[in-house]
Amino acid sequence: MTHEILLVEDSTAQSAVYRSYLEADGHHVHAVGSGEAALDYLQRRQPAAMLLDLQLPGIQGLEVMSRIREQGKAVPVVVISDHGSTDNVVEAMRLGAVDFVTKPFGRSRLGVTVNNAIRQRELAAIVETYRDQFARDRFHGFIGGSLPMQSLYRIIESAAPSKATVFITGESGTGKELCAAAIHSQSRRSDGPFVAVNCAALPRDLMESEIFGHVKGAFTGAHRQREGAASLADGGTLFLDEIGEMDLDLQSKLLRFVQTGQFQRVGSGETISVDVRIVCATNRDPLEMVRQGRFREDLYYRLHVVPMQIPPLRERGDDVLLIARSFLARYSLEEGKQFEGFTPECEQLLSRHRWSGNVRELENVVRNIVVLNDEPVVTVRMLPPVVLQDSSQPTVAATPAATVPEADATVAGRPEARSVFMPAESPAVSPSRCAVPAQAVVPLWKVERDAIESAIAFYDGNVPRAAAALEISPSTIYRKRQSWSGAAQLERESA
Amino acid sequence: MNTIGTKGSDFGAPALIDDAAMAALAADVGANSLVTVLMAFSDELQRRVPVLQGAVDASDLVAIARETHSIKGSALTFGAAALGAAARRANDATRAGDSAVALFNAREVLALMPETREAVARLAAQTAEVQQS
Repeated sequence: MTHEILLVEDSTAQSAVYRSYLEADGHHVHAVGSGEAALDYLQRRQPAAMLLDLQLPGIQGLEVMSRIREQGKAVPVVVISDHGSTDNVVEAMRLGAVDFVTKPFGRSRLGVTVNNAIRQRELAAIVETYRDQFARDRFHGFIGGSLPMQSLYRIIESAAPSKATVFITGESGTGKELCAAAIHSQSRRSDGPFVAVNCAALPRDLMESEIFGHVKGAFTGAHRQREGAASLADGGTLFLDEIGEMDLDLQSKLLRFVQTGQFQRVGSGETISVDVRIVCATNRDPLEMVRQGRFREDLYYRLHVVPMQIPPLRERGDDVLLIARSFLARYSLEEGKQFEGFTPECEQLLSRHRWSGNVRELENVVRNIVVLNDEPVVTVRMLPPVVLQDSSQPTVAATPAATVPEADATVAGRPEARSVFMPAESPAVSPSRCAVPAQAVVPLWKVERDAIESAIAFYDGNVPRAAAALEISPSTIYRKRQSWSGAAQLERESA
Repeated sequence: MNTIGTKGSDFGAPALIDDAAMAALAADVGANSLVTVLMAFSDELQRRVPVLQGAVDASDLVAIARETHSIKGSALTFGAAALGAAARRANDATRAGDSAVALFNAREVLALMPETREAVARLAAQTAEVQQS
C-alpha cells in the first residue's frame, strides 16, 4: 500500500538512496534537507511516517521531535542515527520516536522499520476511533465507562433513530428514565417533547386521564378539558415508567394506542391521532407479570420490540467511584462544602458495597456525607453504617446473624419483605417471660437502625420516601445514620 | 594506494570502495536508480570539499565535526570504506575536543575525497554503459 513518507536528510546522496529504498516499497516520498523544511511541511500535510536524520543543519533532529510533540502531531517518527549517537537516540525515543535505524542500513531494514511505524500509527488510530466510539465514561445523563454501560450506550445509539417501542428493564435506581431520555435525545425526535408518566405514582382512576386527557365534565372535578401525556408527547417521546403498575383495563386502551397511534380523551368520543414514540420501563420481570396475568400478553409483545436491560450498579465495576466523585462534586458545590475526593480506604468500601438501591442509594450516601460533614476528603468515619457493614459481610442488607431471631432471617435483605420493618423480637419483653436467648436482645439503637435501613431498602434507597413511611423527616435519617457510624465504630473497638 | 574493488591494501587499510557494500547497495536500489544515487554521492563529495577545506583552514572544529559526520554517513552508505573510516576518525577527534588530531584526520579526509569521487564517478559511468549495452 502506498503511503506518504516525509524524509528529512541533509545529505543529498543519502537522501537519494533512502528515497529509492522507500519508493521501491511502493511509498511516495517527500524529501527535505532541514528541520525547518520538515516542520513547514508538517504544517500542511500529515504523512504516514517521517524518517528523520538527527544531525541536521539549523534545527537539529531532536528539536524537530520536541516541536512535533508540542504541536501534538500524530506522525510516527523513525530516527536515523549512527554509531556513537546512543544518547541522541534515547532522547529521541523519549520525545516520541517509534524506532530508529543506524547507518549504514539496507532497504529491508528500513522497509520493516518504516512499515512497522505506519502500522503502529494505523493501530493507534483504530484504538482512538474505538475509544471515541465505545469507551465513553459519560453518555447523555449517564456516568460510567464499564463494559455493561458501553454495551448499553451502543444499544441506545442503535435503537434511537428508529420509531420502534423500547422496553427498559432494570432495578430501581439504575436510571431507567435517564435511559429513556437518552433515547429521546439521540433520536430524530429530539426537538420534540419528552413526556414522562410514572404509572406507580398515579392513583389508578386518574391514570387514564393522565395519559389520554379528559374533556370537561368527564368526571367529578373535571372542570375543564385537559390534555394528556399522549397529546403532549405528539412529535416526541412518551415514557411510561413502572408500566407494570397499570391496570388491565387501561392496558387494553394502551394496546390500541400503541397499535394505531389513536386514542380518545376520557369522556369524549372523538378519536385523536398523534405521532408518538413509546418507551416504557419496569423494575419487575415483565414476562413473569404476563404469566401471573397482571400484564396483557399482546401488549407485552407490542411494547417489547427493543428490550434494554440496565445493569445494576454492583455489576458496573469502577463506575461506582466515577459516579460517587461526580455526586461529591455536585453536592459539595450545592451545599457550599469543600470536598475534593475520597480516601483510598473509603473508595475500597464504596466499591465493595452491593448498592441494592443502585445509583439512587449511592446518591443518598454521598449527599448524606456532604450534608453532615465539611472536610476536604471523605474518610471511612463519614460513611454510613450500611456501607461499613459491607466490609465484614457478604451482603448489604443481611443483618448480623447473632442479632436476628431465626424467624426474621428469611426476610432480611429483601426489600419486598415488608415484615422487615419490624425489628427483632421486642427487647422490651422480659427475658424471663419469653424464650428469647440473651444474645438476641439488641441495643435500641440497633433496632432503630435496622428498622430505618430496612425501610430505606424497601424504598430502593429512596430516603425521602422511607422517611415519609416512617413518619420522620429525611434529615433525621441522615443524622441517625451518622450517629450509628460512631456507635458501630465504638462497638468494634470494644470488641 | 587504495584501489576500487579490493577489501583493502596489503597493510590492512580499508578499500576505497568495498565491493560487497557496493553490491548490496546496487541490489537494494536497483539498476535503474544506481547511477542516479552514485552521481548524487559524487556531486555531494564535490560540493563538500571546499566546505571542509574552509573549516580546516579556519581550524573550526564545529564545522569540521558537522562535515565529517555527513561525509562519514554517506561514505558508509556507499561502501566508501577508506573515506568513511577517515571521516569517522576525524569526527571522533572533534567530539573528543582533540583539535590537532581532528585537523590531521580532516586533511586525510580531504585527500581521500577527490580519489573517492573519481572512483564513484567511474562506477557510475560503467554502470550506465552496462545498462545501455
